[in-house]
Amino acid sequence: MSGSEIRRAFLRRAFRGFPWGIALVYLAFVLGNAFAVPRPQGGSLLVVSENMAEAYGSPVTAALVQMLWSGLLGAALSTMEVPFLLERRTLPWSGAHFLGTAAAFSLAGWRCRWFPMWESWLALLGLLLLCYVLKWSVRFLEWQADIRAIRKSSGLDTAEPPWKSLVPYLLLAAAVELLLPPGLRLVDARDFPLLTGIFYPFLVLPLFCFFSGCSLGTRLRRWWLLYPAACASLTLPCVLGLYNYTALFQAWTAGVAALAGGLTGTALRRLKKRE
Amino acid sequence: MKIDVTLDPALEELLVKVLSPGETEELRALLARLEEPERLTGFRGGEAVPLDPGSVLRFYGEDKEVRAQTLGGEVYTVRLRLYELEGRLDRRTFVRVSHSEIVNWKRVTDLDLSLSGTIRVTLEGGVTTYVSRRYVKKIKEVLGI
Repeated sequence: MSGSEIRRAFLRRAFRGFPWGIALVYLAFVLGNAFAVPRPQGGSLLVVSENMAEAYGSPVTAALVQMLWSGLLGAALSTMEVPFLLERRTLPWSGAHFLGTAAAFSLAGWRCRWFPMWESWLALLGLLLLCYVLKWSVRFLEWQADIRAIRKSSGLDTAEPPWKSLVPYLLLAAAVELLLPPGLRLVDARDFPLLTGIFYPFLVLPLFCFFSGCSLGTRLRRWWLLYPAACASLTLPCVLGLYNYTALFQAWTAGVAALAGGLTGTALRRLKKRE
Repeated sequence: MKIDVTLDPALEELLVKVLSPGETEELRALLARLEEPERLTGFRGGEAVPLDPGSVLRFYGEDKEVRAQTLGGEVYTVRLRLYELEGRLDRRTFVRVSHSEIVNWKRVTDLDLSLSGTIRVTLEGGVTTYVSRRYVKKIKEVLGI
C-alpha cells in the first residue's frame, strides 16, 4: 500500500472514529450514572464530571469541550489497525501509535478531569496497552499460521526456532496477568470486589491459561513446558502488589491451568498426527 | 507434413489437434515445440539474450523497468510489464509476492516471518526479498491451500 493510500485510510478511519469516541464516553457516563451509589442528586444525568463543570464555569461548555476530546480519542483508537497496513516496521509503528493514543487519552483525561486519582489513569493506560498487545499477538499468530501453511505446501522445513512460537504467547500472558488486574481493580466495587476477587482469579485467569496453553501445546513439543512456569510467575507481581499473600493460589491456578492446557494440546497434536 | 487450419468462432481459445499415423520422431519434435514455454528475451548492455524462465529467480520493478535476476546472479531488463509476465509465465511456478515483484517459487529455499511482522523470502544463491502481507492470500490460493 502506498503512502498516500495509508494516509487516506488513516483519515477515513479517524473521521469514522470521531463520533464513536463521543458516543463511547457519553455511554460510560450514562452507565456510571446508572450504577452510581449513592444516586446523583435530583436524579439528573451527569454527562461531565462535577469537577470539570466547575472548572469550565458551565456544564454546557464542559460538555462541548469533552465532546471534542472524546472525539479525538475515538479517532485515535479507530486508527489502531492502520500500522498493520504497512509492510515494514509494523511493530515500531504500532508502538508509536500506542504512544500517540496514550498521549491523547492522558490529555483528554486531564482536560476533562476524568481521573480523580493518578492510579486510575495508570490502570486505564494499562488496559489500553493490553488491547494493543492482544491485537498484535493475535495478528502475529495469524501471520505465523499462514507462513507455516505456505512452508508446508512448498516443501520447506516447517521447523522454526521454538522461541519464536513462544514469544507471542508470553507477551499475551504478560499483558493479561500484569495489566488486566489493575484495570479491573479500577472499576471494581470497594466493598465487594467481584471482578478482581472472583471474576479474574476464578474465571479469566484459568480459562486464559488453559486455552493459550492448549494452543501452544498443539504447536510446540517440550518447549511449551516453560509456559506454565511463566504463567505462574507472571501472577506474582499483581498478587504481591494488588492483593496479598492469600492470593498466592493464583500462581498455581495459572500454572496448573496452563499445564492442563498444554497436555490437552499435546494430546490433540498427537491425535492429529495419527490421523 | 500437411497443415489444415479450421476457423471456428465458437472456440474460446486456440485448439491444436495433431493427426499422425504413428508415434514418429517428427511428431515428438512438433509436440515438444508446441509445449515449449514461451521464450523471454533479456537485455543487458545492448545485448539481447534468450532467457529460460526456469533459470530466473525473480522479476522485479526497478527504475520504471522490469528486471530479471537469474540463478547466476545476472540482472537483465525485460521489455514486458509485470502483469504481462504474470500472464505468460506458469502461474504455479511464478508467484506474485508484492506489487513490484514475481518470484520463481521453485527456487525458494526459505520463508521467514520476523517479530516485526515482515515476511522475508530467501531464494537459491542467498538472494532475499520480501513478501507483501496483502499477497499472502493470493500465494495460498496459488499453492492450493
